[in-house]
Amino acid sequence: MEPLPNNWADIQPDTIYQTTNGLLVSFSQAQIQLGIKYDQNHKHLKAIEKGIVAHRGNIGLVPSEVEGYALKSKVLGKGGDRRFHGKILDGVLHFSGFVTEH
Amino acid sequence: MTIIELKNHPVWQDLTEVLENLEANALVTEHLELCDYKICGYWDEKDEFYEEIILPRSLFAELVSSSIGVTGRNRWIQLKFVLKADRIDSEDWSNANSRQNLGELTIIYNESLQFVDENWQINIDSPLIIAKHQQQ
Repeated sequence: MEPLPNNWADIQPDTIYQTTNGLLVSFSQAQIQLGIKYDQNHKHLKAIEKGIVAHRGNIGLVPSEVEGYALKSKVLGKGGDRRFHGKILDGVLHFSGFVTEH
Repeated sequence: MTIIELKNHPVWQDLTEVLENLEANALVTEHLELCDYKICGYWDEKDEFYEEIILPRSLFAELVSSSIGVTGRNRWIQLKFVLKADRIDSEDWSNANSRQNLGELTIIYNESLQFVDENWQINIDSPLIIAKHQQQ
């Protein structure tokens, strides 16, 4: 399994990557484009790489409150005005390109 | 097209009523305590990453704006606070001007007042803030 790249441009659509703590993740083409457009410093990839964290006061993956989605990537400070939501599909956290402001 | 006259619309009265009953101070205190006055991971205005920001426990939060909104089927309440603390070096503790602005905290709750999300804007240069830079 390939490690999760730290740059949106290096991510291939629907390829399964593994974070250092063992989480399996994948991204749609739409999600990769959103990342390139809105997350030029790859802060969300760093949050995903960090993994599941406590809901408050942390950068990382936290529960998504949106029905059908499991986790959302959370950035705090500059760039923290968007959340990317992921669904669990066959044990893989898949980011389909669904974005919210919180 | 129907033009809605918003100025005298009862929605404002309803909103005021909801927001007045929120007990914003209790909510922000709860949030700060559950965070243990720490932010684990923070990007400043220059895109510098900090592993940890430690806030002074003496800080107090002042509600500056509140809003209610709808995203799809989700309803939410957003509260924005300014974080302040008294300067350590101040000789006149009663002087409001000696208070230092530490930044802002925005908290979002759902319609059941369950925590949904947050964001912070921290004045990294404040001597009252301990900011641990990313270890290379």
